[in-house]
Amino acid sequence: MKRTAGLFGTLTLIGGLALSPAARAQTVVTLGSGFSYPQGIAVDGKGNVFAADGGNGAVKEIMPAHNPVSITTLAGAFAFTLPQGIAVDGNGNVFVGDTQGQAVYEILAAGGYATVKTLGSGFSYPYGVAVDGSGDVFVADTLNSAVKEIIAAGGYTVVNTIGSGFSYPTGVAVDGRGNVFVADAGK
Amino acid sequence: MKEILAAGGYVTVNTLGSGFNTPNGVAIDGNDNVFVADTYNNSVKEIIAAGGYTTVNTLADGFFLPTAVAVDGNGDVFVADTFNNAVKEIQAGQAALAASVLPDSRSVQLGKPATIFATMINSGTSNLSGCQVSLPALPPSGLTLNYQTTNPTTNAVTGTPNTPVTIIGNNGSQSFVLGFTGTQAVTAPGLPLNFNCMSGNVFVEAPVFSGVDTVDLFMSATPVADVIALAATATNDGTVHISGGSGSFAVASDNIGAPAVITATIDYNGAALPVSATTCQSNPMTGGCLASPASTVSIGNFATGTTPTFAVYLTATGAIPFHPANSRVYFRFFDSTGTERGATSVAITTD
Repeated sequence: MKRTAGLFGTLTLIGGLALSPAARAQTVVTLGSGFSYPQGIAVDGKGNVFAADGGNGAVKEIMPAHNPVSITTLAGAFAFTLPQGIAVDGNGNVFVGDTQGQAVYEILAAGGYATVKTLGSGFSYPYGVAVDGSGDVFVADTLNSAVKEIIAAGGYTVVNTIGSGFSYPTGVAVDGRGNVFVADAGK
Repeated sequence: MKEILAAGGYVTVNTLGSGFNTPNGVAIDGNDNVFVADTYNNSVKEIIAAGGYTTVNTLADGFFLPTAVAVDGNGDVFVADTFNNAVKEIQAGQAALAASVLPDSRSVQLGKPATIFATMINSGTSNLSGCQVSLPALPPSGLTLNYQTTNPTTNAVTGTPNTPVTIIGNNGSQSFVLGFTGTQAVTAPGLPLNFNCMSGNVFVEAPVFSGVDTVDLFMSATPVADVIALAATATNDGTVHISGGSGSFAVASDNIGAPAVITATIDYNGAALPVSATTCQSNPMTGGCLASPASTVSIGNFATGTTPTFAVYLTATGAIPFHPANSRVYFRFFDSTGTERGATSVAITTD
């Protein structure tokens, strides 16, 4: 194993790779304006950002690629009470945790974000939401001190409690293997 | 921060990182790193997956009670900066890190270390500190990894074992020797390794490219064949530039393990490439085939210390863009049990 020439052959190969930026620097930019206590945020594969604009009772889509940044309100005819959690799936459907409305909603991408469906039931201050590749929706059910999964199969009526020992869970995320990450503000 | 594991049916709950004050938002990137809106600390933090979710870095602060985060495929982090009534983006930097290993397959008997060389390249503009190598978050049971810097000319070790180093910017590189030891049998084809550094207080890691910075690692109770293989291309850049529909490369090998019946095969690591390949054992002096090329080559007794060479002939039936992470030809050695005992690979392109 003294074949350094071979090693450098490999090095040259690496030099030809298109490297993805892996670092995160501390440049912070503000996207748009007009928000009032935004408490939920999500981003889709195209770089469109979705915000739960709680103080305005609105769900908004921000398109940072536009110059100036473009902001549109989704399902503007629907009366959200206090949307605080938001997630987006691979098809662009947007999921909303409406805490004071005690409900989890889906805003359908089909038809231009006009149709709102209620998913599951029995939540108390559902805050953070996340969605996996199967369409199952995870909910930080804050005042029930629980994390729940709303099963897509069967039309989002079955709600399962997952894990235990939470105090005041408010944020939830899910990875590609189905592992669920929880921000528990009470601990 | 908590993780509810899918395995086992969402029963096990692990705590990740520490030092948060009323965290309200969480997001995950494609490398399993966790981003946290640490509300009452007015900051956004990242919990690094490498090393088991213990390192917590502050990405940015100056927020006013941020409650939610999201992260995109470029590593850009989006923040609901709640009491500033704003949505913000923490933009990904330009630091870039790459890694490669050689050889990329080892098979040893338990109790004996499996060593390989590795190189990390800093193609960003700033120096990177704290550069180190570690096993993935969920390594095979009983497996440990030690690393030490080396002199790339002599391969002699330098520095202190398991001590992170600085790699200068603008294509500065550092070579390492990696030593794997196991306490039980290991079958880990394509084991990804974490090559990571810090840029200031920002975590930087090399992307995982199969066959480039992964290792096929096997450890067993009994002695096994351990074929060290190196591929050589005409242009000596690790790439076969297919011209006029055909190309070739050579493979040198050395069995440093136990003698075995070995079959050498060719694959594309699951990629559907418009290419076909044949191979033969070659005359190391002339490079000519000892027998007609075929899809595989068998060696009835690949004795310890012997060094057969091989020629591989490629025929392209369509365009293959230069994409060395995905467009690769793998030459692998299997024993009679069908277990890989050595491998090497080259990039191919018709560009």
